Amino acid sequence: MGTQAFLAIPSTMPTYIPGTFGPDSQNWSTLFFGKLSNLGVRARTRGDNHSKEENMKSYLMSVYQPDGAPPPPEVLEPIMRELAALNEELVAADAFVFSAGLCPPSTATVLRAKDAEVLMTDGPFLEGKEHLGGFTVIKAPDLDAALEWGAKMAKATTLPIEVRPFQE
Amino acid sequence: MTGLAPVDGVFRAEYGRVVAVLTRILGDIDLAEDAVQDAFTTAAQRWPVDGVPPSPAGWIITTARNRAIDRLRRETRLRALLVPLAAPLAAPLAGPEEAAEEGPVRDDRLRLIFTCCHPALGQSAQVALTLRLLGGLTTGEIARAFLVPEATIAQRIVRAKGKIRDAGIPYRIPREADLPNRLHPVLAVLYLIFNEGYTASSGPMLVRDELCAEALRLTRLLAALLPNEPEVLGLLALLLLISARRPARTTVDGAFVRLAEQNRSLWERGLMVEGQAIVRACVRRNQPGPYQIQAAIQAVHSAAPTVAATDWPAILRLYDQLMALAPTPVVALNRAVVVAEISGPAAALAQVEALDLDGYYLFHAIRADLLTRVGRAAEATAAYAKAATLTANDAERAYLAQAGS
Repeated sequence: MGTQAFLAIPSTMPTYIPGTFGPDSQNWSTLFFGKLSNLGVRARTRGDNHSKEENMKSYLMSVYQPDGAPPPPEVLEPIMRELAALNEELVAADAFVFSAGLCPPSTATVLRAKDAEVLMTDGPFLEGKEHLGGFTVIKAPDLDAALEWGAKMAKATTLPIEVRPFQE
Repeated sequence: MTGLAPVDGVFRAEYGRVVAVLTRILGDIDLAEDAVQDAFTTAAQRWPVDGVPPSPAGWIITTARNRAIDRLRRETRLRALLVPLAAPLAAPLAGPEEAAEEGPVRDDRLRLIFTCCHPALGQSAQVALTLRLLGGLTTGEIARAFLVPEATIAQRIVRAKGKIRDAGIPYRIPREADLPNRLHPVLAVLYLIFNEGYTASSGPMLVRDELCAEALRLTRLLAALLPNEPEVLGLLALLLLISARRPARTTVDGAFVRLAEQNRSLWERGLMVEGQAIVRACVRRNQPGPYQIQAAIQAVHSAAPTVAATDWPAILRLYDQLMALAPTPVVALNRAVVVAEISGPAAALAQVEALDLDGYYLFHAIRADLLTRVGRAAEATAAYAKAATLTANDAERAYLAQAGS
């Protein structure tokens, strides 16, 4: 638990390009987050705190959105602009790690191992009025900095944001 | 056990300070607490034999730091044996050689206060951490004070420390720009600790003095650390002025005495004068806030030699100011009590009945009192009964039951 990397890690530059969201999807979380941006986080180990880079912690910012159809374009478009601006800000501050939107919960499948069998159920693990719509992974020196990004994200999306640290 | 006495005194007075310093040196609250515990154990053995050192807190800090370094060295050696390539836990060993200077210590305690009351922690966690780390109370003492199982408090503290460590809650004094927002939960925690002591939310005792004393001690500390924050001074004045009435607030057998019926000669002059002086300084500074206004209201009460001599119009003006800053139904309810003194109980009753506070026992108690004064006895009895069912404090319930009969 202490030393392993938590994501697979090609150490490439961000391929995320702000403004590439298109209104082409049924699924507004994809609109929020764009397609997968593939970049990684370097593995961090305890006691390896020498450079500024190594002192950064990683946080998951999850967006919880109501079930059902996406809001109309006149509501969605300003949100999209705000989010694009926030993502640019994250990249410019070198705080951006990874961002992705998820397909709707109706597309999920849950697997449970039981004895020798694996049981499969159609639908999400938790049924509720809200679901995890997408997430952004950031780097920040401490929780205060991460919460500032979370607050900006909550304002931009108008949705609740859960900020949660990654294990080190 | 007599040999422990000097250590006990230092423990209560200095625990927060030494934990704060060690947390900075070691970068970890649990390590700091263990080290401080070790140092106090050593002190309990040595001081009765060698005498109390000239600077007990400095001795504890130095001893705790050395113990922590020994422990880390042992662990590092152990790790080195088990995992040859493990990253060394050497960072604290390279830490600055700290003596117990006042400058950094002052900042350490502030850092610890803001860490314990970080807004990302729930208020019950903030309260438990503050009493544990700054007050030096044991989990058992905190549990008894709040009448919850000790396991609940222990769990709360473990969870909060885990969040501080894993989520990276910084050990830092907030930036000037963030200070007002970050002070808010700190003041709320101190006020809550005091209030829980002053009118225990449940149980046989009206007052749990040890909680009031601890809240006052910590607020004094905060005011000494942040002497230019008007709301910190406002809270300190408020707690002083309310504490001053403590001797008059219960009878010898613990029954509740209302402000109007208190024997004012029992009020503690020292606390009153100190609180009044702070209120005057706040008024001169003229940066009002809710705690300062509440303190000013108590200062007006404290200046009246008898209930009849109370300057009710001044108190009403202060409530109007408070309503402008914090327009809550509870403030409106308290304001209505003052309206009764100026415009009569019927006017006050009309205001009270417009409030949506059905679940609040004081709403029913105040309504009952006003109903009595306008001669609606049957309704008053029902309202007293409702109030009595809504408080879990035995002394208050006894008072309300008697008032309603």
